[in-house]
Amino acid sequence: MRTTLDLPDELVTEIKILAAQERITLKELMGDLLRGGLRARFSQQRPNNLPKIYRPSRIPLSSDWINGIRKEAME
Amino acid sequence: MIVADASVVTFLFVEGENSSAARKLFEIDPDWVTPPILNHEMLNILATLGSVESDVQGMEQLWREIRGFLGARQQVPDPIRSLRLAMELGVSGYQAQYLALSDHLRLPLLTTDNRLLEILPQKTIGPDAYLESRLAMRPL
Repeated sequence: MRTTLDLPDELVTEIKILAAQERITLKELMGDLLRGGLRARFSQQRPNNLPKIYRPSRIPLSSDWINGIRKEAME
Repeated sequence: MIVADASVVTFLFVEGENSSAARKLFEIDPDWVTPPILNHEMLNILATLGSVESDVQGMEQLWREIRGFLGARQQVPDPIRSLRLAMELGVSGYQAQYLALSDHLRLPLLTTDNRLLEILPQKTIGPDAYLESRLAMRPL
């Protein structure tokens, strides 16, 4: 998708220099920087504690059993 | 940071074959992301488990806990990317949504689905293998 942004000159210069140093296109570098920024923002919102509930299963809970249920739902 | 599918999230909350790896993995990297399709999958897994165990109340409690856990962890994948991946890779539209999100974030998809692990070894990884790779990266 093409979009237009009005960015400060010094920021654009800095990004262009970085792209040249890393030998990647401006588009690639901008994509990486935006992805990194989004990841960092989402990460800050997530709690890091293990879930409070950890339930013993009364049946032997295997990957095959869980993925069997998932597969049935997809069909 | 990882993208986790419904099988891995289930093992985080319910004791089973891969729970030990899933919980260790969460301790090392608690930054899990999932697509919203996981809600439907979890509901289905809990409904089946609840029927087998005849425990409606327990499953309701578990569902509330899982919803709270997923709240800040969900990200919507691009549906067009999901559609393309489903057709290109021959996977279901459900599976393609996990793959689209992991592609977009450039993160591995953690799954215990053997078929996916087998046909897409570059895009998917099992909890044990991922845990091993993360522990190997840690300084002694």
